[in-house]
Amino acid sequence: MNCVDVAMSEPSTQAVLSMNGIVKFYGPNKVLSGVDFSIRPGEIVGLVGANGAGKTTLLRILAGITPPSSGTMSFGNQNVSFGAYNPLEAWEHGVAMVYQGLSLCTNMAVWENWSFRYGRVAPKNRRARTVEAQQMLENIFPANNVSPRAIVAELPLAQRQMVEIARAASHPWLKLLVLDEPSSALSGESSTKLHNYVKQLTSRGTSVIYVTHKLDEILGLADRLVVLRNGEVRWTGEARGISRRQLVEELGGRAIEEGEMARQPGAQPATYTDPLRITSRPSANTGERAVRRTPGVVVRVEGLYGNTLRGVDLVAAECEIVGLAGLEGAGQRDLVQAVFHRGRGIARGHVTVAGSVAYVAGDRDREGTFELWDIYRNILIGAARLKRVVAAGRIRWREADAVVQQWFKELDIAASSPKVPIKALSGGNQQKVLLARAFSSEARVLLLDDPTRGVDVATKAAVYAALTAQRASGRTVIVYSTEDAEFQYCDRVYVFAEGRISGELVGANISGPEIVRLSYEHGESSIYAGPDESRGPVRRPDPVSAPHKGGTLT
Amino acid sequence: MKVPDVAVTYKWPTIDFSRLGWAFTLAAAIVLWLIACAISGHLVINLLFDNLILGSFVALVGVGQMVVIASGDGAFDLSIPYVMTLAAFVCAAVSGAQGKNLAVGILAGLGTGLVAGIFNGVLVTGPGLPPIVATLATGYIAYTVVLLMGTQLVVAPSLTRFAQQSWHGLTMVIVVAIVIWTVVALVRGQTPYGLHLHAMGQSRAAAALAAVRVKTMAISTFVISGFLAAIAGILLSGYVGGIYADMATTYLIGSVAAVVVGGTSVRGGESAIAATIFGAITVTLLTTVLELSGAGPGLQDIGEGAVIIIVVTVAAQAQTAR
Amino acid sequence: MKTPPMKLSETQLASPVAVTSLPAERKRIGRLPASGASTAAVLLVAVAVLTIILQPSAASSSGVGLLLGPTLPVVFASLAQMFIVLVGDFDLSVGYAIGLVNVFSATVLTTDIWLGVVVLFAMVLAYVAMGAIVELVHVPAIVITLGASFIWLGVGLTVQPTPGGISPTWLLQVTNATWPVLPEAVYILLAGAAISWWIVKRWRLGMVLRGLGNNRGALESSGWSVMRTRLSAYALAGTLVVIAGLLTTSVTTSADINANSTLTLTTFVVIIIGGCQFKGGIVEPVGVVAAAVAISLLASVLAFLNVAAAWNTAVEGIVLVAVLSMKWAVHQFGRFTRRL
Repeated sequence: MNCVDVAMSEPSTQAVLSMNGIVKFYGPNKVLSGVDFSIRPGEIVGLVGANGAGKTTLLRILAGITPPSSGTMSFGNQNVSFGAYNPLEAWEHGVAMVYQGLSLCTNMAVWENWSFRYGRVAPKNRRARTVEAQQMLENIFPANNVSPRAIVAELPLAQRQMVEIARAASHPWLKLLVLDEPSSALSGESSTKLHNYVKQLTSRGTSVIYVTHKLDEILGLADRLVVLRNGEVRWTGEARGISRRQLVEELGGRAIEEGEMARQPGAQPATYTDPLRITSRPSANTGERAVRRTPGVVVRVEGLYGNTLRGVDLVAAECEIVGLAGLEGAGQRDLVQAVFHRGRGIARGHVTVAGSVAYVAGDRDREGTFELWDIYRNILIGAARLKRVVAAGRIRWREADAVVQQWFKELDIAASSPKVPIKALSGGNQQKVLLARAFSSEARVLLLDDPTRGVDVATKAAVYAALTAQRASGRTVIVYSTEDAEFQYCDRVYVFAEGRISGELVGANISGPEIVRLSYEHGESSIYAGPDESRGPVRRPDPVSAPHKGGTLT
Repeated sequence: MKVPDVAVTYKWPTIDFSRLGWAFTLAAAIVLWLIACAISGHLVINLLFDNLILGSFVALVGVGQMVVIASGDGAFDLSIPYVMTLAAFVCAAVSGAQGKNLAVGILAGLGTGLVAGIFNGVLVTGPGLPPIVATLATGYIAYTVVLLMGTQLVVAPSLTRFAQQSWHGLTMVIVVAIVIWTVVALVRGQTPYGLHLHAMGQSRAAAALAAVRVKTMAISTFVISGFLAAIAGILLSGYVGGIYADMATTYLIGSVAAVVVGGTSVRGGESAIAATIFGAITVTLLTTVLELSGAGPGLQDIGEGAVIIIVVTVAAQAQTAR
Repeated sequence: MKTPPMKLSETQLASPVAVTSLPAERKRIGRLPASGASTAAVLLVAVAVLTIILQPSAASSSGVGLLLGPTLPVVFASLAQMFIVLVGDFDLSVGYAIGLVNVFSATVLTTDIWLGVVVLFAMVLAYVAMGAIVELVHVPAIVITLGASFIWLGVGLTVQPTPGGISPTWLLQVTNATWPVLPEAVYILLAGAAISWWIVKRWRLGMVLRGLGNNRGALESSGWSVMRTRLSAYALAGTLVVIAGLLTTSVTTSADINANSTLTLTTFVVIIIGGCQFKGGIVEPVGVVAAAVAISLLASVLAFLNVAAAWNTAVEGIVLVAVLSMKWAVHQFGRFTRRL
């Protein structure tokens, strides 16, 4: 652990919250390895970490949603017994959590959501609650436009977020306010107001944990920072004592020297035939790509705008694996869904796909496995798209067996036979089954939505190998993953940041640090830019043009 | 690697004998028949056969209900009894008093079932009506048409002869039913349709992502149910020899009871034809036993209602315990 | 659950803001056409006008009273369904449950009033039991209520196999009394609408019911018991079922369990037209009452037009489909215009 000593001005001040040695396993995965976290009264602690660093898990433990595998926690001098700890008890201890929009009842007015916890709705109390709601909103976000009588369902996301924050902050004996990415839905102006309020709050002794990906924001706001990486506290210390560049490094990204050009040695951007052309599938042993004819573009996305996407263009060709990287919620999932639905349901933009598409879900339980079925049928539903498996409306069992067997063996699914119920398998093996389903459909384009989430290391390797093999047989693979380190097997990687593509990495330039760096790039100049910040917007490179050269632009 | 190298055929049987649900319902049916015998004091074979025939009607619509329920998402078809009656009425009306146009009449009746099914399906997938409301509405519209068609219609005699005649010892009704069940079982187990149906019953989201056309499939389940209801209604009118507006009112609870007693989960994603058939026979026998024991019609209704609630509760507890 | 102090503490009010005025209730005129309750109101007005045209004598006080009398059971039946739908369930047993209360109040209640009261109370408890089974067993309410509906039917047939029975005299007087100014039925309707509205929109329980229908997780994390909330909804529905049954007896003066076989669908039609949402959480009590009166009056209108009684349910079904299609079309048109 790389700690910077923080000289405590009042060593006798007892911590509001103290978490020690928190370890958490999800199955075989160690998500948190011995995290120590504490916060004093009136302190603003910024909690930062890249994908998979363990922030969410730590917060869930704090909130009482899930217990740790080991470790202790105490509020002041009251120890917490995790067997009985739950969200209600957290609330009793003075902890208020703010997530994004999950805890409001959308069919009710703002002030009614206030009343939910706090008592009767008699006429005079209605007015009192309405006044209270409005007061709270005014205090945190002065001159907001939110009417306390408005129905939550009619409020835009930013206003809902404001209501959530205000409601949490009205906790009658609030000791600790936890804000999980509050400014991601707020405008810059509202974010500023929130920061002012947080400062006022802490000046009166309440503590705040602020989780965000916006590094500029947290550097200007927090007293102390805690950097999580790979489930450990990588760095903790005063926010004053670290620069943005250093912070990015600690997070796992490689910083770029000021003024230096972004070097991309040896990388040749792939050239594509244009317009979209459907080429016949090449034979299985393709050998070196260089000696083959130029691959045709199979997937083209233009100007996609909607949900979390803010104007995305990308292409994917046959025989290549394209990775989608970046922080969670930056638009990757929406892009994958948009490609699967070929652009239906998206506000603006075009999606063109030449061929069939198969989808591998990352949210296995809700979108992937058919839990009443065995492995066989979970694969078969993909293979049923093949002409040789289904002929004249009937399933040809001999062929079906062959296909299921083939993928069962090739992906090395750890079960005694395909007739084992899928629920009996481990998460990794369930994921393999989902892969088998997609592969067996022999679709042209494979879309994978975070396929290695919650999956053991051995399975991950098997997944990469399988995807590489798919590429060799001519398929296009588009993979969204939250594990920055595993994009090595991709040919190209688009890095998403806040709904746009902040950069494209090709070949040898694909590296974890580069991805992390690009994940934190904004499209606009930050309002929190300090003296040592690089100014100006980062231009998203055009995949067909020459390598991007760093430096400032308009 | 423990997978054998030789390709083993994992052929799925047409009737899923691997699930024991059918065994329990068969046992329950036998027990009930024995009780009936005990009450009447001697072995009543005729009773058994009569119940088998009546039970076949319930099983026919029960299978249709099973298909709808299997598609998941809270889907039920509450229009079955009314579609049955309407199909019978349409068939009788088109066939004419002497039954000269019986073939056309039967086609018209079957067509009615198809139309009702399409209507149900469109109401559910279009404006997004919950299935129970949509099918209730369709059912009552059908009922109204039945009422308007009057009371003067008679069943074609040739239909009655057909339904009641014996073929190798089995009444034609049962023969037709067996043919239908076989077709449904084949579709369910041997075609991609069956695969897709059970997929969307377990998770609509996952099915959509596995390239299942969920909306079309939903409509098709109602069409199947309506078609089977029409067949049952026409056959019933033939077997009984007459039609009247309320001839099929017991078949609503019967169809749901058959599915439930047969052990199919009402949440969708699974289906068991043999178990549903035996469940239908069990329910019919239950009614008979209650009748024999002197209970009024009220007690029979109570019995059927209670059976549904009890079976569903027990099945749900068993599932959570697993 | 702790009851926290009502005032905000100083720590939270960083600088006390003097709230001089609350934002005015947003004028909802622009949204009126889309609101569910307004559909019901429009329908009611249309049907009322039609009634008066066809039967001018209906415009008198006694005429209105006569016409509105038979609408009362439908109104309370629909309100009962409304509370079940509010928490996200469906009740298929409403029709026969009311029929059963009808039977009980024309038999047991007449002969032995205290036993009758106990039996009616047991009916409410039976509804609560239904709710308990739904919550405990996690089976769709459809199946449980379908089974229950046949239990109600069976019990009703057992107690009174053929139509008959006689209403207690005091019950008859309940709906035949003469009240000042307006016909009594109107007062009952207004009371029903007002009380239901108050329960849903002003009572804390109503708020919690709306919460259950919308966001079960938020309810649980705020410390409310989902089971108790659901049971409250079913208790309310059960009480309304008893009221509806008593009114049926009062209006028809006798009992027939089978007279209510189509009532269940009617309640669904009324609820949709009245502006409730099937997924739960959003109901319009006033709309439901208006729609119930409108739909019931439709039956009278059809009678005035010499349409066979058989058409009633079909017309209901058609009206339902028509209203929904219109709403869907308006919704699609709105989406289309927004895209332009």
